[in-house]
Amino acid sequence: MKLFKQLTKDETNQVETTINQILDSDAMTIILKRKMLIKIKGDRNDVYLVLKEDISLFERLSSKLPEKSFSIEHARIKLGFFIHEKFLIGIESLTLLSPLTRKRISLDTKNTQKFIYGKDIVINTISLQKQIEHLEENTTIMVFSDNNIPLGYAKIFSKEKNAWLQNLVDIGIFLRSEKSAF
Amino acid sequence: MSQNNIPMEFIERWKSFYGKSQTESIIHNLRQNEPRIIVPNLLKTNIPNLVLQLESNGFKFKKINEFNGLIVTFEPFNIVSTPEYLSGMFSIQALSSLIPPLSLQPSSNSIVADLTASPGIKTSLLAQQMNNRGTIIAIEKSSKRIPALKANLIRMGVLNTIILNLDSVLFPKLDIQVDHILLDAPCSGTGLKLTKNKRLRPRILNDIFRLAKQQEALIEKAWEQLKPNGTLVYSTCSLEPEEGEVQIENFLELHKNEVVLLSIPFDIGSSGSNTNWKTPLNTQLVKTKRIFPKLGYDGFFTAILKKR
Repeated sequence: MKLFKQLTKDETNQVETTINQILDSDAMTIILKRKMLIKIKGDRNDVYLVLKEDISLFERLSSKLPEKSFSIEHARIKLGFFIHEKFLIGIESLTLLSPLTRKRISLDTKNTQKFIYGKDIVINTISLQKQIEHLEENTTIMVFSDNNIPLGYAKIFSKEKNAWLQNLVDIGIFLRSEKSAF
Repeated sequence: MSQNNIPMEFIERWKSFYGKSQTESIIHNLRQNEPRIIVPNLLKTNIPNLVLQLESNGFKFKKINEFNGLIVTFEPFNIVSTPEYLSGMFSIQALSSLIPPLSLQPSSNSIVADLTASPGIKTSLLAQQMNNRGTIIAIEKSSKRIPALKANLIRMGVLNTIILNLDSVLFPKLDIQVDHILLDAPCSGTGLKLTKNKRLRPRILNDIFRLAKQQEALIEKAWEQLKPNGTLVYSTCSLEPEEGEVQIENFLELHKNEVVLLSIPFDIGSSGSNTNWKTPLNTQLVKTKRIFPKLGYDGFFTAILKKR
């Protein structure tokens, strides 16, 4: 594999669709008109959103130095990664996407603490229920604190009369796994 | 013989460079416990908002006039476990770390190289000044230090940075001309407070010559890639002139027709030209800064070099 490669059309579509669904808008489609998606060399097929002019920079880097002497470790905005050909959203996308999302839930202080410790959140209050009642099961949403700090991503699940948010990824990862997750 | 873990070899050197009274102040301040100082991330918040949010959780602060810093005076629980920290609304750092990136003053369309980027606090300050636009090429030689660099930049919401795992002496081989360069060079670290410095041993003195050579090579290589009218900020957290004033003196001598020193835009510390050296220092060194350790600050040196 080269130091980087552009995503295939299918991969691009998958990233675009996944993120548009999370945002409940076509914001990612609009972003991709000006920017592009690449993978850089790595075990997890990380996906980065870069400027079109970055491509010529990366190509120059590849041609100037032997591959052994350097590597691109990160390029502007990491959105997530592919595992088994499926795109998963990453915590790195939060800064870019949090101002754009319409699908969101706000947690009180106690649930905020639980969520950033990596826990799932039981939907056991009217306030929480109201925030997600219009959303279907398996929907991925963005999770915020009650003072509007983006905390991460969760998926809505329900079984019989119980519903909960399954923690997909949260900002506590910066404390729990700084050395292994990035 | 030493004065509370500071080897006499250092004390005698500092007396010769800075005088007895300043050396006593250095020794006193190096021994002080450093309070936790936080600085807001302007990409995500501002001081009033940050203070309001953290005080509502029981934290208390004392404001520092310089650089929007806040001393944490009461922590009901560890501040790094707050959503505010984890979402990158502030960083924890010595105020001296702010001076090199803030001296560089990149614009939102600059191309900037940070040649020794990990752990990324200075890189994030560059991104703040650039409003997350333009391009920062963050170079880190040690692959072990890359995860912390990535994590910090992501947490702080930095969106304009490309991280390369590369030895900075190879930077010219990339053939990229940049507007600004931050070179916070590897150094002996003798200006660091003793609570975070395990290196202040007599043998470190033997390393100064080797480190100065390494720093010289890094400045030379960086200089090749700087555009005309571009600026390079050189800094070290060392109290040794060989890693500061003398380094810049030698550089001025070698590049006298192509470099001009610019003044550090902060009224802090003393001029590098006040340092006593074996021979009189170039008068341009009046524009450099020699910062001595004090509350919130490690000892360090910094200079801004502009390419004609």
